[in-house]
Amino acid sequence: MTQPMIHEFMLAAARSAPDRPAIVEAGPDGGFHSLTYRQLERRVHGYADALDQIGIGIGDRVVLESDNSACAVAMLLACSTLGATFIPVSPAMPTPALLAITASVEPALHLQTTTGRRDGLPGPVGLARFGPDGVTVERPPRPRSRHRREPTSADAAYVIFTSGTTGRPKGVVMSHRGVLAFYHAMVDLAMVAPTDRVCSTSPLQFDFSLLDIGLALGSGAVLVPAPREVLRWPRRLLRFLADTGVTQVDGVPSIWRPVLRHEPDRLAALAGQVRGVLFAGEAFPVAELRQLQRLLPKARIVNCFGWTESMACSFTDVPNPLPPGTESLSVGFAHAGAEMMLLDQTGAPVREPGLVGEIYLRGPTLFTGYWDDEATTAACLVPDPLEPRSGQRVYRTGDLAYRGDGGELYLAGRADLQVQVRGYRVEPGEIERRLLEHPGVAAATVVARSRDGDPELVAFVTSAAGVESLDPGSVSLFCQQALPSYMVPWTVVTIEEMPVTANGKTDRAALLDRLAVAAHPPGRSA
Amino acid sequence: MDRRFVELLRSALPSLGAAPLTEDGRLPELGLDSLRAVDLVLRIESTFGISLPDDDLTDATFATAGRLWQAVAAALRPPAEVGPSR
Repeated sequence: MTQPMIHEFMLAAARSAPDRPAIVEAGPDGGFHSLTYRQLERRVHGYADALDQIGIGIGDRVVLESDNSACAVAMLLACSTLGATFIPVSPAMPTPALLAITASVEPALHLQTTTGRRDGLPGPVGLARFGPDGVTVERPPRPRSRHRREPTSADAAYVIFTSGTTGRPKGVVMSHRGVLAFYHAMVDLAMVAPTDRVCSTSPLQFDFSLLDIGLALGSGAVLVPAPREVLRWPRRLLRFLADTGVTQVDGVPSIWRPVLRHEPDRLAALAGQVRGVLFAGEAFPVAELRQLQRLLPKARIVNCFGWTESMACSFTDVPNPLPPGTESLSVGFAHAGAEMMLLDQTGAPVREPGLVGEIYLRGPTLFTGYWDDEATTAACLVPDPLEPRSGQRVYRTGDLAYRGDGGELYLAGRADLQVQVRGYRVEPGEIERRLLEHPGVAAATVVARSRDGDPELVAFVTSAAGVESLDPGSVSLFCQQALPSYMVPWTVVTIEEMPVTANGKTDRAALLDRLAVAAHPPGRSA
Repeated sequence: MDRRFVELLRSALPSLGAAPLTEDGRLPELGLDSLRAVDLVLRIESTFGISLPDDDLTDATFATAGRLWQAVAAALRPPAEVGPSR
């Protein structure tokens, strides 16, 4: 049976096992609520009817402001049902960032939960709230002319916004067929059985959560979205996992760090229950991974790697135990039906193990383009360097890697300045742009350093003419007003002059050296 | 606020600098991110020999220095004053 749209894939169990639980979540009363596949499907239909009545249809953009929950899942599936495109955003997103996104995608409707506190959205955007009791329209969308009749699998299922260098939000447009190609390849790996309970820890606007939803529902299993607040406290997270009977935990490596550091005994107590761990978004420090393997000896740990531009790309089992001397983990090979190629700067294949090249991805999961950004799209979705005459486009990822003896890939940094912070990709240029909007800042450079294994952003600034001294706290706060928390540099260093390299570019290495010197002043032994 | 508490808290606030720490000082704006908050709890617990109840591990508790001190002070009180022990 073909499933051209993502809601059909995710609700397939509503046909085969309608009374099995689909989602278990924490309720406001402190108890836990379960929704069966049949109930989830009913909620999807209810939401879709309500949106249909206010004219939401094929190609409309709908901003979905919510944390991951049963209602949020139902709403994104309702958007799919109508052929509308959802744009997931976090309730914690600063309003200027949300306004930039709405100005760019011109949504027909902004949706938030019944407890949402967002206001100040401009006039043409319709406003509504949703919850277990349905949809409440606060301001209907402006009437629009209809040109479409049939939703197709080539239509955009969603747009995910990531950090961009240009100062404009960068929206990755994913089609239903691209997402479904990925979901099918992932579910075919049989990482999750219908009896499993999959805990999703990523926020909804990070597509890792969409991977989790597809993995759990597409496998006929149970999705268990972890409340945002629980994640911050190791003890509460572990209690939540125990109370909900979670058997697999999906998340970025940094969700494990505080647990491993502070509550190893309580984690070990879950060893009989948690059978799977899937991580993605950043490298998992090997020492922490070994500790996780010791505490959960029977768990299958999977290293998931990829980009928002293809949702992800590879699933590599972490060997248990890790061989002695392991320094970095392999990201393996692309899932079935896709291929990671390693090419040099001339576009020629890099064949010899150990030589670094750039990863290009080929396959049916590739994104459609960047929203309203032809230039960046053309720079990243490029003619196949191996056979440009075919007209096939491949994704130039910007990730550098080398091959091991078996042909498997190991990451070796970026071809650009992008860094990963707790799984989020961050363009230092976007933070620098914000810093330059500060009236006291003349020049700004943002670098990432490691703080106990966790990447930390540090801003170097020079003060504008006439500014006596720059208060670092006020500069951080200024960033916090416009940028998501993972992009706020909490360490701000004022310097006299920005160091430059021989070619006149900012010397980032010199700035990083300066931090290393500050941490270990000369003349003092470490 | 207890002096040891203020010292512990100050070390977890990268944006405070040399400024005085007041009870209404808003911790997230002073740079107390989630990782620092978790470390801070552990250090507070070992310094004072207490265990903060899970129900206190919330954003509300960590909103201001004063709110956090209230939670610590409550945990420091003898059990008789806070009702049946857990």
